[in-house]
Amino acid sequence: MAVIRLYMTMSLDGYVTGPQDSPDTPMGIGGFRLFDWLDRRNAPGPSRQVYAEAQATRAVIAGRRTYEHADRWQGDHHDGVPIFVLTHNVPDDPPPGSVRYVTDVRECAAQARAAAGDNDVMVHGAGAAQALLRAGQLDELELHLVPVLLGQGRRLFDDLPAEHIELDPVRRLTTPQVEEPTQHVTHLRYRIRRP
Amino acid sequence: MSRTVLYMSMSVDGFIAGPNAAPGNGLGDNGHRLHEWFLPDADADRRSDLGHLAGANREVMDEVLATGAVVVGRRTFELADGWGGDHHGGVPIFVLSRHQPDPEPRWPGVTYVSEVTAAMNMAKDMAGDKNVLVHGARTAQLALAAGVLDELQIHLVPVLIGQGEPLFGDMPPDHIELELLRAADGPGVTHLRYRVRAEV
Repeated sequence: MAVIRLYMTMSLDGYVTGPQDSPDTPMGIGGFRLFDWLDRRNAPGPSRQVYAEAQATRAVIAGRRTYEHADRWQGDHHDGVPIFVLTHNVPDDPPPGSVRYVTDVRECAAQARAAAGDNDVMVHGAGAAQALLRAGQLDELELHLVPVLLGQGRRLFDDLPAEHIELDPVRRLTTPQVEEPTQHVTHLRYRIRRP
Repeated sequence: MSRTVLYMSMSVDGFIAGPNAAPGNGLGDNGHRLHEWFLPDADADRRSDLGHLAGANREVMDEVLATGAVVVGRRTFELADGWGGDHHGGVPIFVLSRHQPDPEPRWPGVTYVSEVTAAMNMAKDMAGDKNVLVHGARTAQLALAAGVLDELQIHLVPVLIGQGEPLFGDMPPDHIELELLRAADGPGVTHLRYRVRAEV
């Protein structure tokens, strides 16, 4: 069955954007620092491997905020795979490209798994991640941990209940020291243990 | 030369203690989970029960025990009941606190200091060639802001605890660039050691 895996770039202090993120400033002030590692996505090394794995997913789940801030990916996140957008209020205008709106998180997970078939599902955005976590529908985390403290911004993990969710480390890929310091990243993959 | 190194166990969601941390519940509700990698038994005496550590966990704990002075925030210090006045090996402990405690400190090796740079300098003087162990979220934040923290050793524990005390909670929006010096996996924890890149 398809694995539902969160792919998110996070600073060591837990932020996925800088402060004051908005449609005009989707990564917040200074938040694009987090994406410097993607400059190496086509160069040999761990970042290319992880990026290629993300691109090989065959469905996307995103929260509404992430989706809007990313300008709806013009309806195509990658390779035209179906994009399931979790939202409380379905927009009136028809969804672009391969986007579908879903209001129920379990329904969203089920549809994404079905669409991905034998491949995996990519989750994007803090809101979607937390909703899936709370519903017990997130299988894995792939965190791109960037060696910077942003100080402020939007946290990846916020507003979760005070119940422990145990993780099993699956893989750690660390970029070689020869690279530009800001392009360094540690890719951490965890499996979420079911209670 | 002596370096100031923050050592903290942190959950993947960024917490160093569970909610409701208070004296007698120093790590907060269920916060002991974060220390299980070196202290599996919540009731064990922390200094007599480290013999089981192996691999990277042993290596990192040996580094901790080889530090020559401690700088700690007053809150962390009091939540830990002052470690009985001896964190490890009787090294001097400098407690960062805006006010002198009343009554005076009970322990001879403990000094209260009101300013983070002064505390670090005093600790480095006492540590000689050894490193200074830094402990506590607020102290880490103050030391980072003052540019007097050299390294961060994060023991990243594979758990989301949901609520509690964040390590990096209340910082200015200035980026602090880090360099990963070492990543090592021990049983139940990933040790990530970073250097603060002072030049950027």
